[in-house]
Amino acid sequence: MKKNKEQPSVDEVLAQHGVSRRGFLKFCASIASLMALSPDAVPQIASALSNARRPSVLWLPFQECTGCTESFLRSHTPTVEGLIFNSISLDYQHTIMAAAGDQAEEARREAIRSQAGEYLVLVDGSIPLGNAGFSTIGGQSNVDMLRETAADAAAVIAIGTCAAFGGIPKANPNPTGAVAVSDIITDKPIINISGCPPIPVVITAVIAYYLTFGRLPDVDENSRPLAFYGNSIHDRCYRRPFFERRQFAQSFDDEGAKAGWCLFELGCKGPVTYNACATVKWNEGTSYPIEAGHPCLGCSEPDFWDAGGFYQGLFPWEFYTARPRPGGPGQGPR
Amino acid sequence: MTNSANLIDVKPVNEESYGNVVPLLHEIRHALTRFQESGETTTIDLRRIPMTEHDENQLENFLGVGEVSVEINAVGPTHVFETQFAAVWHIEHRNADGEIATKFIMVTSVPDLVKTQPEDANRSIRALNQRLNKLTKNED
Repeated sequence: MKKNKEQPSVDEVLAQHGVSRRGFLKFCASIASLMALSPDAVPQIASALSNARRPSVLWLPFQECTGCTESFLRSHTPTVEGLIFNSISLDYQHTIMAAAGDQAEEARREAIRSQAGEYLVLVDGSIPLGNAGFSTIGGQSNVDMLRETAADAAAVIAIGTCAAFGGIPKANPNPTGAVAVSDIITDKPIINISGCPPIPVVITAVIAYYLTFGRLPDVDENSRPLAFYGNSIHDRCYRRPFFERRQFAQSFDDEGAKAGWCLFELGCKGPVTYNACATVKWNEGTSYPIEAGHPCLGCSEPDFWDAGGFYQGLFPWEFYTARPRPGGPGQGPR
Repeated sequence: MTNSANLIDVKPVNEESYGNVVPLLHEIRHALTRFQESGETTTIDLRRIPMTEHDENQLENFLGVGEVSVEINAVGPTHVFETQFAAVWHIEHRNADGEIATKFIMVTSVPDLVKTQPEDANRSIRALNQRLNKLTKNED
C-alpha cells in the first residue's frame, strides 16, 4: 500500500478519469454551493483539492441494514461527486471489498499501520454493548474494532442515524445495548451525517471539505455539518406557505391533500427535523418525501423511532418550543 | 399492481412565493453598478435563496435572454447565457444525470468557466504532440 504522500492528488485522479479542468471547477462550484460557502471560495477549493493527496478511508459497517451503503453506492450514474469518492483509497469495506476473512482484516490493519494519523474512518451502524457476540466481524466485536481502527485515525465520519445516534437498533427497548460512535470514541474529531439513510452527496461534500480545509466543517449541537443540517425541513419546504395560512390536509386523500396543503396535522416532523432533503432532494433530484405526499418522519434526528407515531401530529407545545438554532432559523412559526 | 385510477393527483404549488425575487433583483442591480464602476465581479448562489418554482420563473422572465449563449459539456451539461442585462450571466450546472447541481447569477464580462483553463491547454499540448508524432511516424 502506498503511503499517503505517494498517492496521486485528487486532481490527478480526476484527470485520469478524463475529467477536464472545467469539469473539476464545476465540481468545486457545486461543493461550495452545497457547503453554503461563498462562491468566492471556489478557487481556494480548487487549489486545495488539486494538491490534496488521495486519502485512505476505512469504512466499518456495524449493526446496520446496509441501507446507508446502498443509498450511497446506488445513488447516481457517474458524476464528479462519484469520481471524488472513487479517487479516495477505500482500503476496507467488508460489504463490497473483494478480499474476505483474514485477508480483509489484514488490509485494514495494514492501512492503520501505513497511514497512521492520516486516514479517515467511516462508520455506518450502531455498536452493541450489551453482549460482544451480538455483532462481530472476523471474531472481533464491533466495539473493539472501532476502538482499534479509530485510535490512529485523523477523523471519524458517522454515516446514518444508527452510527450517529444509535438509530433503530437503539430504539426502545434497545435489546443489544446499541450506542452511537460518539459514545465510544471521545478523543477524535467526529462528524455525524445522520439520516435513514443519509443524503449521499453530503458524504462526498464532507470528504471534499476535509481535503480542502484540513478539518471537518462547522457542525450543529448534534455534530452534523451546519451546511446541510442548519435549516429544518420546514424552513425550506415548498408547502410552507400553506402552513402559514393554516391550510392542513386532514387525510391522505382529502381535498387539502390533493391541493398540496401542509402535512403538519398528518404527522409531519419537518418543523423539528434538520436535514437538506428539501433542497438537495432524493432520487437524482426528483423529489423528497413531502413532495411525494408523505409527512417527514424525522429520520435524521436522535431517537426518531421513539418520538411518537409517524402519523401523530406534533403537539403545539412541541412545535412552538422547537429549539432555536445558532446561525439558523428553525424557531418554529412566527 | 397499482391501479392508476386510484392515484391521487397532488397539484404542484406553482403559484406560491417566498417573496425573495425583488430583493434579489436589487442585489443584482447593486452588483452591476459595482462592476461598472470598479470591475468587481459578483457571484450569487441561487441555491441558497429560498425560491418556489413560481419565483424562479419570475426571476428568469425578468432577466430574459441576451445575445450570448454557451453550452459546456464537462461532467454533464452546463448552460451559460448572458441575460438581456449585459454583464449579468445566468449559469446552470447539471450533473451527468441531467439533475440541476447548482444555479448562479454572475455579474462579470465573461464567466471564467467559459474560458479555456490553463491546465486543459497544457493537456492539449501533450495530446497534440502525441498525435502529431504518431502521424509523422506513419507518414515516414
